[in-house]
Amino acid sequence: MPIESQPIENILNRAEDTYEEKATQIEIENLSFWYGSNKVLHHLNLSIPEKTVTAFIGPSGCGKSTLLRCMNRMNDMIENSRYEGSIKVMGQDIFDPKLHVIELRKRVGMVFQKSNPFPKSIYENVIYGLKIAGLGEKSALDEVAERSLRNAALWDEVKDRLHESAFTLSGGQMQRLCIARALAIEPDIILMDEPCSSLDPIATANIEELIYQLKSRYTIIIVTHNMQQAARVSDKTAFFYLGELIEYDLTENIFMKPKDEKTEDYVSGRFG
Amino acid sequence: MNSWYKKLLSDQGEKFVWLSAMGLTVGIIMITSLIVLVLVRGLTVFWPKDITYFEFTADYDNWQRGDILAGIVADRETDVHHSIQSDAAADTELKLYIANRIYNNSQFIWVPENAVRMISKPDNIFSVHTLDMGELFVKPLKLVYNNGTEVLSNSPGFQKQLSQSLRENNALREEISRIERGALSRINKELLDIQLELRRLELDQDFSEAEIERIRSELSERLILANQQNERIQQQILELRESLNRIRFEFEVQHDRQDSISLGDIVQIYNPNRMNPVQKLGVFIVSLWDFLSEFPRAANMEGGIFPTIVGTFVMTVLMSILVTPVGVMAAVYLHEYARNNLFFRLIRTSVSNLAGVPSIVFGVFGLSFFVYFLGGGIDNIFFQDKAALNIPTFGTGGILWASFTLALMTTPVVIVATEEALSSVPSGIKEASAACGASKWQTIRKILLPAARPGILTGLILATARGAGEVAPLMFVGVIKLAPSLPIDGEFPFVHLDRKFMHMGFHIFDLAFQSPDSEAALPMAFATTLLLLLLVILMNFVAILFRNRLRHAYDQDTF
Repeated sequence: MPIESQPIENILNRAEDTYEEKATQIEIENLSFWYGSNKVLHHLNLSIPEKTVTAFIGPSGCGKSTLLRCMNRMNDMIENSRYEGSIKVMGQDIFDPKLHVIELRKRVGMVFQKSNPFPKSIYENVIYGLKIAGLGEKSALDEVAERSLRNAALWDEVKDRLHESAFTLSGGQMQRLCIARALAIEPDIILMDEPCSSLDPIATANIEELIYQLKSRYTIIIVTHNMQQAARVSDKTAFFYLGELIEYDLTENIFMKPKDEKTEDYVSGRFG
Repeated sequence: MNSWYKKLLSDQGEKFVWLSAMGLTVGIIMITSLIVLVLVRGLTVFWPKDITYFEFTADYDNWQRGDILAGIVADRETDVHHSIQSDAAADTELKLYIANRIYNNSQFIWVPENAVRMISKPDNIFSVHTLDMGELFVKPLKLVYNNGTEVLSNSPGFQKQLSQSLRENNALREEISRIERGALSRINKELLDIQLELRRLELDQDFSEAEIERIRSELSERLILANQQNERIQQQILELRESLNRIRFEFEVQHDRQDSISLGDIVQIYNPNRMNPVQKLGVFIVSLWDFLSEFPRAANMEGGIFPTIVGTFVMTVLMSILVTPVGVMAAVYLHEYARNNLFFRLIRTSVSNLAGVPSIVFGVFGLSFFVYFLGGGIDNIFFQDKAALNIPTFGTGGILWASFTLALMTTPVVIVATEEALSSVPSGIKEASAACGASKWQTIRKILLPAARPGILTGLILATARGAGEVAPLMFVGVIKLAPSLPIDGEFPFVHLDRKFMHMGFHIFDLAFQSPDSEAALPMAFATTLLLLLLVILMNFVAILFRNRLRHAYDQDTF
């Protein structure tokens, strides 16, 4: 039976890992966010545990991507944006003016909706973050490149053509390259903004498998529109609606016994 | 009632294909005719044409019936009256190229067609290219050596003797110019240095009497030495010139007049009427090569245009080196750092408008700012002694200031093109770079600029094309009619940024409007035009190849 048409209860997170609560790594307190005069996040409170996969779901424009981009301060690049409240990553307030945003981004890696490799070779793409940070030793770079590509399950496919353009890869390979690039800087947290939205089902399955592999070492937050995907890969799920956090619980609970009516409507496909 | 054109306009048919195709056709016709005209008029200059004898069938001007004239038909026009009105005046007139500038007032004459008739293409008429008397159409008589021996033109060894002597003379002339450019210019520099030292001695108060005396005597020794050397070299040149003039060439020109010139004044002799096309091609190639590789002579009307090629090329390269960093950096700031407020919008508009400012305005600015203010300032600080002798170094037009002026003129082009190229880089890879922990500057340097490089190069190509062909501003800041030396040569420091230079665009203007016989210089002007076109096309072509290589380095199809 094709994955996409299976009932939710069949595809929920693998039965063997029973989730046990872990230490909090990201603590969001009373966060509000504006683009110009448009308030897109309303007083959010959320704690995300380490070494788990957390999915953000909700209809388009509900602010889930904005929240994700707050966590590595990607929204700094947008003019006229403003926030209130705080986000603590590993106990450190990321909005602290004394904190260097570059240090934060080395701790919090990101994979984007549209795969965006640099117009460079595959190898150069992977080691970009290290080179930027000033690491120049060839053997060390080679080692990191191999390890990252292996972790991103791409090594076997590209090991013979590391110095070819990244644009020779397929869409799914490019997205895994972007994941390898994020892994190379050895972050603690990986933010994924709809990483599979432009991929075919096989590439999607590959990425999901990869996420599952990675969660023992990294905290992963994934924004997705695909309910099945959230059910398949995540341990915990947060449902957002119109800039507010409606419900945040174990994925099983969100899908099987949602407390809020809106959540139930959304996960059962009645709107969104 | 006016529905027919409404119908036309609203019709689904492809009528407007014709309109747009017409626009393209007009454009193609204009470009093709320009290129064909320049090609034909530029290249035919060097092709040896047959010389014809014309006989006057009526009295005309100061020619009498029965006079015979050697010439080439250069043009034929009806219903115009270039010639002096006379009884023989007709509606159709011929423009004859009769060369022999030193015997006639002009190398061209207009005669009524019915006043002359072609009689023959004689075997024994030669085209003689002289150093500074233009071209001569003559009947050779004999070669006369210093020692009195003569070689008659109808003797079997004449041709061989002639061409061998010409080859020897060419070698001698090269030797002379080598000495003039080498040893002689070194001595002139030494003389100038001594003069400067003396002047410094006068100005400086720090020396004691004894020291001044000592330096003075040293300098006068140097002066004597330099003068001796000078004399020796002048003597050497004199000897070379004498041996250059060891043979005289005697000939007959029209009206059965006899004359002779030194063989040393002759560059090339050939007999077009007796040559087959292959031989003509040989002459064509030699003439073309001389044109490319030689210095101009006889008020630029003779010789080659080598210095103008070098001048144009060096200036364009210098300009590109100057304009690229400034233009690119300005565009990076405008695109990446500047906020989108009124001030920067104003600046952006100004930059775009600056591209439309007439180039002469930049020339005036270059003269007053670069030459007088900057150059004068540099002279006052670094070349005090020369400035005291009223010898400007940078305080006068030169290739550096010309390049600066053109760089200023083309900066807006580069800024606009670079900004566009930066905008076309997808924002996704900028974000990806930031997410990898890159600072803004790192992102610009490692990601944005490399990705925008083809677009930046396009801007640079446009700027180069505009700069290379510009003439008006250059006249203010360093272009001259005849430069004694090249901006690049074997003399230390090899690149002479303070030197004045020659430029092909200005050379065309000079030939066409400022030479003593502009009609005669016009073919040269066309040949120079052709070369300027070729140079600009060549430089663009190289840049485009380079850009394409960059594009293919990493195929960006997926964007």
